[in-house]
Amino acid sequence: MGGFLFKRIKSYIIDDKLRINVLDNKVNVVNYIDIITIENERICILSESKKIIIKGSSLTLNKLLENEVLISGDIKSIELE
Amino acid sequence: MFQNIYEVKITGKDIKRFIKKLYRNKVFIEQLNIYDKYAYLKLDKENYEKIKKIKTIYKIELVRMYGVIKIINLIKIHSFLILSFIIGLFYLIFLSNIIFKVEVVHTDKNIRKLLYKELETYNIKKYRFVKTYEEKEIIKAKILEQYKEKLEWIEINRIGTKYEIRVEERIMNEIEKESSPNHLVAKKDGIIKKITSSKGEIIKKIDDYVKKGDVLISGFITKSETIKNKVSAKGKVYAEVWYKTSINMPFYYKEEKEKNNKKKTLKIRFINKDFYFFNFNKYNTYKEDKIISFKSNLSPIEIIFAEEREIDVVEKVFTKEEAIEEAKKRSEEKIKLGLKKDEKILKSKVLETIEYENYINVVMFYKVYEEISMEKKITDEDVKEYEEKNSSN
Repeated sequence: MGGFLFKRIKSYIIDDKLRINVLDNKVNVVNYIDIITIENERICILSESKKIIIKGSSLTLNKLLENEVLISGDIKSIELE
Repeated sequence: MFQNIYEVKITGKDIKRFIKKLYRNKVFIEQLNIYDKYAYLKLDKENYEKIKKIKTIYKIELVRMYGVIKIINLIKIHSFLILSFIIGLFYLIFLSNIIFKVEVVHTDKNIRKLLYKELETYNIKKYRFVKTYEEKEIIKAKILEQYKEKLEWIEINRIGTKYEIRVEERIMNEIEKESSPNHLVAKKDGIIKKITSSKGEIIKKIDDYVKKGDVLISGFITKSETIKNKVSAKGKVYAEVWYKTSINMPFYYKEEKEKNNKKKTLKIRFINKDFYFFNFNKYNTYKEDKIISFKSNLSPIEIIFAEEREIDVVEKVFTKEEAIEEAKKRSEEKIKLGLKKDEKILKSKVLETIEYENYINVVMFYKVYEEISMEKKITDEDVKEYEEKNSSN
C-alpha cells in the first residue's frame, strides 16, 4: 500500500512519463531520451520504452531542450515502435 | 522577463548537421528557426557559453539579447556617454550650488563694506556653497543683533548663483548739535541774484559782484558796530557764475552702452570660436567676465564658465557741424552734472572751434545760476580783523 502511494506521489512530482502532443503541423515530445536521426523527411526519437518515428517533409526542430523537443513541418505520420 | 536569453545566428553549409552536433554536445535550444544556410537560435546563458566553446567552421554571431543582460550590455556599450552625462549632471548640480557673486545693494559704501565683511565671516562669499533657508535666517538674525543700532532690516536673496543682499539702514534721530559760529562765504566769483537767510546778518545785496572768500552772510550779531554775539549763519546765496569748457570731439565715434541683460554661460572656445552649451538666446555683442576657465598651453581648447553682459555698440561718423553740436551737448551735460535741482544754465555760447585731422576742439562759455555760499568757521583772527576795521573807521 505504502509503495503504491509513494509511486503515485513520485510520478506526480517527478513528471518523467513520455508525452507526445500533436499540434497543427507540430509535434511536441516530452521526456525523451535521445534523438537518433534528424533528417528532412524523418526524425527518430528514442524514449524509455519506445522509438518514435516522425515522417513528413521539411521537418525541422523548433525547440531542443534536455527533455523536450518540438518538431515542425509537413507531418505525415507518427509511428511508435 | 528576468531570464537572460541570447539570440545567435549560425551560418554554414549544413545547418541541420551542426544542430545535431550541438545536441551531441548537450547544447539545448529554447527556440530554433532553421533556414537554408543559416539558423536563429535562442539560448540561455549556460548554453550560450557552451556554444562559444565549440570549435567549428560555422559562423556563430550574437544577434541580440533579451532580459537584464540586454540592459547591462547597453550600459556597457554606452558607458562613456552615461558616465559623461552623470559627471556633467553632478558638475551642473555642483556649480549651481556655488556662489559666484555676492552683491550688497545699498547706496552707503560703509554699509556695503560692513556687510561684505560680516557675510564673509558667515562664509557667504565667492566660490562657497549656498546656504539653506534656515542657515540664511540664522545669519540674518545674528547680523541684525550685532548691528542693531546701524541696521533696520536685511534680506538675503539667491538669484541663480548670485546672492543679492538688500539692507535698510537704521536712521536714528540725531539731536541737532549747535555748531560752532560761522560765516557764509562765497565759494566762487559771481553776481548775486538771490539771498535767503534764517540766521546771521546779510552783508551783500542783489547784483553785487563778489569774489571767492567774500563774506555773504555774517555770523556776527552786532550793535553799534560792536560784536554782541557770534552765531552759525544759515542761509543760501545764489549767484550768476561763469564757466569755460574745452572739449575734443572725434569725427569717428564709438560707444559701448551696457544693457541690463546678463547671463551665465558654459562654452568651449576653440581658436577664438565659441561653442555653447544650452545657449538659446545668444547676444550679438557682449562683454565677458570669466568665472571659471580651464585652459592648457598645449591645447587651443578652453572651457569657460562666464558671465556675459549684453552691450549695444554705437558707431557714428560726424560732420564738422554735427561734431560741434555733439560737443555742445556733451559739454552741457557735463555742466549740468555738477548742478543741483534749483540751479540752472542761463546762457551758453561757442567761443572757439579748432579743427584737427581726427577731432574738433570746441571751447564753450556758460553763464550759470547756482548757489555759491559755504560755511566758514569764525576764528579769533576774524574777530580781531572786524574790530580793527571798525575802530579805524
